[in-house]
Parts: sequence; structure tokens; C-alpha cells
Amino acid sequence: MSIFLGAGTPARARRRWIDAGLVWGLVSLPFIVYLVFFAAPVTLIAVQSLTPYVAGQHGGVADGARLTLENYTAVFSPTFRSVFAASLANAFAGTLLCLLIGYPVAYFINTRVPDRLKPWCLVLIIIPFWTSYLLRMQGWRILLGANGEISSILQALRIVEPGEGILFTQSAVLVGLVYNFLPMMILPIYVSIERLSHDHREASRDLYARPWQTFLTITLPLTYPGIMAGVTMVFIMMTGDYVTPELMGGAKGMMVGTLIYSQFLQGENWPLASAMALALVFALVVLVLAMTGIGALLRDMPKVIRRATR
Amino acid sequence: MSNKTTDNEIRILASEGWTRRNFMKIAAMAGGVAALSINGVALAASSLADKAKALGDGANLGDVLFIYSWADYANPDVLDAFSGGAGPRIQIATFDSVEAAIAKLQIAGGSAGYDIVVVGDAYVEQVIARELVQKLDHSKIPNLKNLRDQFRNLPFDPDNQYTVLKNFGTIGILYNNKIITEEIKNWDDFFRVAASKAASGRVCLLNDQPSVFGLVFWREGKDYNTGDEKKLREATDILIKDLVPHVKAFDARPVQGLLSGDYVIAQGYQGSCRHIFAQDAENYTWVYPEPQCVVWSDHYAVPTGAKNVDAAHAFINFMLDPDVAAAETGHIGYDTGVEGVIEKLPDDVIRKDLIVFPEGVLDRLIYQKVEGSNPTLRIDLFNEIKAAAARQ
Repeated sequence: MSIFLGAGTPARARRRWIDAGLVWGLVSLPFIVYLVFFAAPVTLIAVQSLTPYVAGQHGGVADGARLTLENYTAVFSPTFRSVFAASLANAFAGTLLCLLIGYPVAYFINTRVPDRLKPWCLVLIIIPFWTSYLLRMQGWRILLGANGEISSILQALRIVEPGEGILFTQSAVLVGLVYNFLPMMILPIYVSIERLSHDHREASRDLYARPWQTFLTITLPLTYPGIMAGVTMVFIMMTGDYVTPELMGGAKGMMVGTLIYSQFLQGENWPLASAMALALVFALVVLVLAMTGIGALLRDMPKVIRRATR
Repeated sequence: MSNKTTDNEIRILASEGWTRRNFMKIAAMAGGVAALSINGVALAASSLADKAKALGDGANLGDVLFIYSWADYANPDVLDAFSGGAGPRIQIATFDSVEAAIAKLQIAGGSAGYDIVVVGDAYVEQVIARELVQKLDHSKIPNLKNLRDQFRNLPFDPDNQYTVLKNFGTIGILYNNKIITEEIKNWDDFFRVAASKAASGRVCLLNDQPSVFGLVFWREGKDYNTGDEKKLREATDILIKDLVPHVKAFDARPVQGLLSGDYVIAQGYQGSCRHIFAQDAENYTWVYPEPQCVVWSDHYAVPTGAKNVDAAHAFINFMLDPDVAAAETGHIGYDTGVEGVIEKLPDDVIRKDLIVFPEGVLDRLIYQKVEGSNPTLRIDLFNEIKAAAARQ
């Protein structure tokens, strides 16, 4: 017996090593590719942001360039600060609206729509995105323009002045942002509600919890991962989006992305643009961490309150 | 090669016995009907294709000609005629800012795959200095003689060594004359009307810094290419104080916004503004403002390292043919500067006065210059202006 084992072990062990190596390689290869194609550009941007501006230089580092922080001091100009604040305000408002609309929609599809119709509801949410982005925005521009249908209704209701449109206002920017990013909010929340076992809610009901109690203490905390996924994704994308605000907001649609774009492509000031881009990334990381923290606090709030009032 | 493929494609599309010639005629008729509405040029595309064929004879012009240009800035019939007659299929990639286009060429270290690039007048010196474009072979562009004298040998490219004029134009004021009843003649009127009750909040400016800073300098007849920090900061303050509070948008194509009622007065390029008169000939007024304005021009150039240099030359030569140039001018609405183009435009073309400048206009127009204009500072200040507009 032991002889057989002894004979088999080296070959088998070698094979196991090879297999393990192959699996490792297969599993890590995409990660390495991702690392190279993600980390390399970010590193380039980071290096670029630390070099001085040289007229006519696109990318790369000028010969004999010294390292400097001057781009980062230039980033925090009054213009950048005011545009950055406006971008964040837009993204916050847009994310909040997406959540307020997206959660009930996802909840409705999950709990009120017959099973066989659910996939169709999801398709309905995604279908508009099969047409070109610009066409959809163009459609909104017509609807919201001063002579557009929506503006006419609002004019008739005396909500806006006669002859005034919604287009090129802050509200139009929000309409565009929410319209474009709503599915990113609905889908992860839908998945998290879908995963939620019906038993939990039933148990809650059996224990005489009122519907709102069930929702606040069971459903909402358990779907927290979906909410956070949606909120994070939508918030980050809204902060970076500058095309929608420009198309819908006109002069009101100046976003931090517009600034970065103008420095990269019109000012040809890549170092400053890189510094702006990285400053934006850092700010987003901090904000997303803060939001996750606040979200977790809110999730645990019912528990805390319950304990306190017991 | 590609000739043959196209022939086959046409045979598949059309019934037996159809030749390219017939097909082109039908296409010209179909195109002509649509073209008449705004272009008024219904030149038989077949005759253009024959011209292209004559150019292509005996030469191997390859399969593809890549052009890097602004969007919607060429007559598709003319492009088809070139492909049909001379051979190479034309592919157009578009940019939305010249600076971005130059940046792309620079990063690619030359052609970036394009055979022809369209460069604005103010950037010609820059692309030549950075060696992004190559010298033209004038023996392959005999039609260069067709260009009117004033558009040859321009100061930024003596003897047309690197570039050939594509077309030129200017900026002006387009407004809704039902809402703004007073007459507008100059930039001072523009500032005043913009601040009036009728227009405030519904003013549209172009989305590029030279045109916006220009408003201040043109109004006073001063050098609008200045790079002087003090003057630029003063101009910024004037714009933020007097104009920005009334601005609705920065938009390069204001026609839609005017028709939809979102703007009542706009700064615009005369070729794109001309389209409004095809839809509404009554309610809008175009002004070539006094006392000063810009003349801009776009130029064909062949990027360094371009693959299909022969086809690029053939194409430029083709565009300088008076018939081709007339078809092009009729479609895009800008004068190509080729001798005889104005005479070849039909009488029924809509608002010919927006294609061909009236007497005296050209005399008060000035070329933009980038060198010495302090573009870095200008971009910062323009962002400041736009940020101020966003805060209103």
C-alpha cells in the first residue's frame, strides 16, 4: 500500500502544483490586466499633475522637469471651488431624487408585479437606453424648451412665466441627470430586494409589526447593500458627467468635468487638468466613505431607537 | 479595387441594366430636391463624378481617404462624387475643438491615421511649427490657380506651402425681430439689447473664448488678439458685469434654441445661422455687426506621416474645381474662395447675402491670432466667465 502511494505521490504532487499554478494564473490574469490598464493611466496622470506646465506639451514629462505642487495650489482657485460646489450640489440632489424614485419603483416591481411580468418591467426600464444618448437628450430639450409641451403645460398652470421654458435651468439639469442615471439606482436595489427572503417580512407581520415597522426595521436595513451600491455609483457618475449638464443647463450647466475638459483640450494645460482630475478623485473617495458611514448609521438607526425606547 | 466593389454594390441595390451613371443621376435628382430647400444647388452629381474620374485616371489613389474635420462640414454629394469617380472611399472623423484635434495629432506624433486634417486659420502657424503637417506638392494641385488671389499666399502660410483654403466665414448677430423690435447694427447695440427686458435671460453666446472676448474688443474697435493680462481681465469684468447676467447658454449652433423660443438673440456663425431662414424667413434678422468682427477660415492640410498622400492631394485639387466648389458652398453655406463660385450659385439660393458678404463687410473683418494672445490665461478667464454665468 505504502509502496503504491510512494510511487504515485511525486507525479501527483507535481500535477497538483501545475494545476494550482494554472488556476492561479487564470484567476489573476484578468486582475493583472485590469491593474495595468487601470493603474498605468492613473499613475501617468499623477506624475503629470506634479510637473510644471510647458506650452505645447501633451502628456509625458518635459526633459529636466522638476517636481512641483503648483498645480494643486492652482486647482483651488475661486472658479474651481464654485464650479466644484455646484457639481456636488447637482450630484447630491440628483442622487437623492434617483433614490426617492428608484427605491419605490424597484420595490413595486418586486412586490406588486406578477412574477412572469417582472422581466418585462426591467426591460422597460432599460429600453430607452438602446437609443442614442444624444437623441434622448435632444428629445428632452424639445419637451423642456420654451415652446415645448412640458413648458406649455407649466405655463398654462402659471408655474412658469408665459414664454419661459424649463430648458437651461437647474431643474433641467436635474431632469437630465435623473433620467440618465435612474436605472443605475433601480437595478442594484431591485437585486437586493429580490434577494430578501419573503419569510423575513412574513415573520415580521406575524409578530404584529405594522407595515411601516416591517419596512423600516426589516426591508430597509436588509436592502442597504443595494441602496449603497446604487447611491455610490449614481453619485460618482453624476459628479463626473458634464455633457448632460451642458446640454440641459446651458450656461447653468458648468460642471467640474467641463473645467477639466477645457484645461486638457483647450488650454492644453495637462498638468493642471491632471491635478484637477486627481483632486476630484480624492474628494469623491472621501465623500463616498462619508456617505457609506452615514448610510450605515441610518441603517442601524431603528435598532438604536428601539433599544433606547425599550 | 474599390471602384469594382462599389459597382457590384450598386448592381445589387438596383435592378439589372443600371449603370453607375444612371444611379448617380437618380441620386442627384433625389439629392437635388432636398438640396433646393436650403442649398439651391442641384448640380448634376454625375458631372462631378466625371471630374473626379478624370483626376483619378492613371493614378492609384488607394482604397480609403481619412479626413479629420468638423461635423457636418462637407457636402455628402461632393464626397460621393469623389469616391465614385476617383476611387477611394471617404471616411470622416469629427472633432469638436481644433485644440483637441491638434492635441490628438501631437500625441500620435503626426497623422493619427488621417490623410487630411481641417485646420483653423489661427492654428495654421502652430501645426506647421510643430511639424504636424507636411509640405504640399503643388504639381498635384493644379487647381490651386482657381483660388482667388486674396486667399492664396496668406500671411500665416506664405505660398500655400502647407495648407489650402477650405472656406471662410464670419460671426454675426441673429435675433428674433418680433420680440426685439429695435434695429441692431453694432456690438454696442448687442450689449444694450441683451440687457433689455425683452432679451435678458434669453441671450446666447458662442462657446469659445475668442468670440466671447471679441465682443468687448470688437465693440471698441480694439485689438482682440491681445495677450495683455490687464486688458483681458478688464474685458472679463465687463462681460461678467454687463452681459453674463443675461446669458442663457453658450452654444455654437443657436438656431434650434432661437426657433424653440429659448433664445431671442444670439451670436452665431453665418453659415449655420442661415439655416433658420429655410424654416422661418420672416421673424429673424441677421446682422453683420459693426465696427469690427472676425474673419475665420478653415484650411486643408496633410498630416505628417499620412498614408494616402496622393488621394489627399487629389481631393484638395478636386475641391478647388469651380463646379465642385459651388456645390460645396451651396451645401455648407460658406464661400470656398474659388474663382467663379459666387456666379455659379443659383439665384434662388436662400439668403445668398449670408454666403457672399455684402460690399464693405470683408474690410472690417480681422483674422484671429493665437500666438501672443495668452491662450492659457484666456481659458482660465473664460472658465471664470462661465462659472459666473452658472451662478446667476
